[in-house]
Amino acid sequence: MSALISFTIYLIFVFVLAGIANRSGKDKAFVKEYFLGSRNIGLWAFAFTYAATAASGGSFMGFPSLIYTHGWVVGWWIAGYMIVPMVALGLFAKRINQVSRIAEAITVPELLRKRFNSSAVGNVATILVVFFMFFFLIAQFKAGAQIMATLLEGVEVYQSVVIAIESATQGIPWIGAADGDYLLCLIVFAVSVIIYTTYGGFRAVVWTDVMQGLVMGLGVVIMLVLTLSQVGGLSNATKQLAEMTPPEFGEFQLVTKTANAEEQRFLRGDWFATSDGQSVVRLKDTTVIPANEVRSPAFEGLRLTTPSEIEKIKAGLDSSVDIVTEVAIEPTPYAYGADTKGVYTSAPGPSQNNPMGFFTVFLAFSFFAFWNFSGAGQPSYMVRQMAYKDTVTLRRSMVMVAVYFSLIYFPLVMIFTSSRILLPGMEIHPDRVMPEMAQLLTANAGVPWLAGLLVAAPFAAVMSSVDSFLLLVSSSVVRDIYQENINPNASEKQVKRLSYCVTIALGIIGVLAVLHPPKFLQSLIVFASAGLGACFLIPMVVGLYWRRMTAAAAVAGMIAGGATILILYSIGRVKYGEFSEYLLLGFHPFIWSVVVTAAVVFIVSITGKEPDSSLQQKFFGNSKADA
Amino acid sequence: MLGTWVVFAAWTLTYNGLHAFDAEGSGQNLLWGMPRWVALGIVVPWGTGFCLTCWFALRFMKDTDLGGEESSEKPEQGEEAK
Repeated sequence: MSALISFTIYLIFVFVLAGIANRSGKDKAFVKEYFLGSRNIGLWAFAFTYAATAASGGSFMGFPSLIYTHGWVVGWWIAGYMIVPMVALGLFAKRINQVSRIAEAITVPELLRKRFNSSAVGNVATILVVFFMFFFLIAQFKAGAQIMATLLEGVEVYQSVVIAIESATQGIPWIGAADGDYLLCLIVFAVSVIIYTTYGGFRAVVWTDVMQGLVMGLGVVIMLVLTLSQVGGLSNATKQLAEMTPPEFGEFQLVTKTANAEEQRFLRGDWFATSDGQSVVRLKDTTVIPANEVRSPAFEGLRLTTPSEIEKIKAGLDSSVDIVTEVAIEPTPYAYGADTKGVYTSAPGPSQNNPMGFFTVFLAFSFFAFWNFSGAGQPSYMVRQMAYKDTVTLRRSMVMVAVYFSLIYFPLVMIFTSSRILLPGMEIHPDRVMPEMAQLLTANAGVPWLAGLLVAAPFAAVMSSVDSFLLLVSSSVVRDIYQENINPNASEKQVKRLSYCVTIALGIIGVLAVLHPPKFLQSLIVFASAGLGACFLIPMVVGLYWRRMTAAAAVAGMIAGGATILILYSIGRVKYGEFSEYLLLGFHPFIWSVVVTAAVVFIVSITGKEPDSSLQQKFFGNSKADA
Repeated sequence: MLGTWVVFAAWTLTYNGLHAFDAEGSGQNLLWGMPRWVALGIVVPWGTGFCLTCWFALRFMKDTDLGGEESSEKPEQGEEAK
């Protein structure tokens, strides 16, 4: 309950900030203020809004679950972030700001449209932004709802509301089939973010990003200190990790010696000893032994294989319970790393399905490129680079972002490799490891109220991403579709009203789309990032620096990039039977999309007619030498 | 930028490609509490990258005039927003 109170205080602060931001922007022209903060964003705001947008729900939910599941090798997976501030911001932050001022552009599609003087470029860009960004939105909504559900799990009032909601929505198509707790948390989360984004616009998003960025940074630092003190130091944790072997997933049954007259119900996450006493099994979902029966139906579970973990769990079991587990379907060992010590402290890391392991050198190359260049190609970062006020702000922000990424990403690797020691068996629900860990650490330290702050860190990450994406998509719809194609003479009042309506409508569509959430949060985020990077990185970089690039090349490049990602993911879906990328020759689809897009942009440009000289002069001056 | 990326990618890929795949030795061969390949193949280049970023941003990169700005004051009642 104390965690919930501190979490609520955090939410109140977010709303207060949004209110202040709204008042501070009242004297500015609406569109430029609402979508771009009047191009006057200073050092702290720019650095934190850039960093907080990067650190999404994936960083605080999906990333910890990857570290927990695969060990130290995930440090290599994220290593590209060591130079992201320099490469991503150094690549074109100065130039994009300059060109957006010349073009007087507010959004990324508008910038591209004006740079190439082509409506087709703007329209294709808008469609691609809306398409790929929507996957981002629904992944973040899912993450936000999951965090809230973990925090509220033990609260009595919450349970009553969940039951009331379940009975109220029963029978309603689509909505009624969603879990009550998930539905409630999803609605509360979505309403909060939609309100402050709609009310405050870009400036509110930036200011709340600053606060959320501080909460994230502080949360990680506190968590690191608590984790290392509770595992007895990093060396001790790594040595224990080196002795661990991956668990096994299978189907089990609960068996009791004497039948009970009443049904016996056991919760998700409960532990039971195996009938031979050699191991322990964890329940994946709620399981029952029916009345007057001695055996439950078969259920999915996880069996530990590391002796020290087994002893630790067995010591905590209630000795008066005479229920044990028996194997229903023999567990399948990991495809790579089964019974192998040291698999969590070395590459390629254990993998449940891939016999080559989690991480190959080809993937290492792919992700080192992915974090740097896909990041640079995200419209949500580009629009921030259009908003800072001067180059002093940019230079100092690069240093602040570098400090911030260093404080967030590698410490998360240290925390969640160590979390295997404190929280065994979380592979059963790996996406919940972050909030579970926050609650365990603070309970062990005797400061349960602090869990609210620690859980606020991933929540802040999710909120700061959702608000950015909501605004980006709504700006594309209002500015690039409505103002450009439908009503070029719209009054400020009309634009304002439409912007509010679109932001709210997008939020509602997002909630409806994610009522039955996709299983793989991190996969969805990587897909959306790769898609946006594929569409916009090369056309934007080349368009900013090469005067000879044509509008046809921009359109062809964006379509080719998006199509490459969609094709390789479709092949992955067919080949593996689930939402997954196809690694052609071992490389991630993003790498192939960059190669294809670069080739298409170059070939179409040099075979097409040279752009109009007045357009070249507008963006590149009189000199023939490219910038 | 591309040169910087190539140097750091080569460092992590080469060092870790040679040293990270030793499951037996990784638990004993620690540096700063983590497997040695993590310390030398990720932490050290990360620190170097951080220093390089600071130097690039604070010493190397030059300030530039980003160009004129349209007035951001609120337009008169009835004036078009665009």
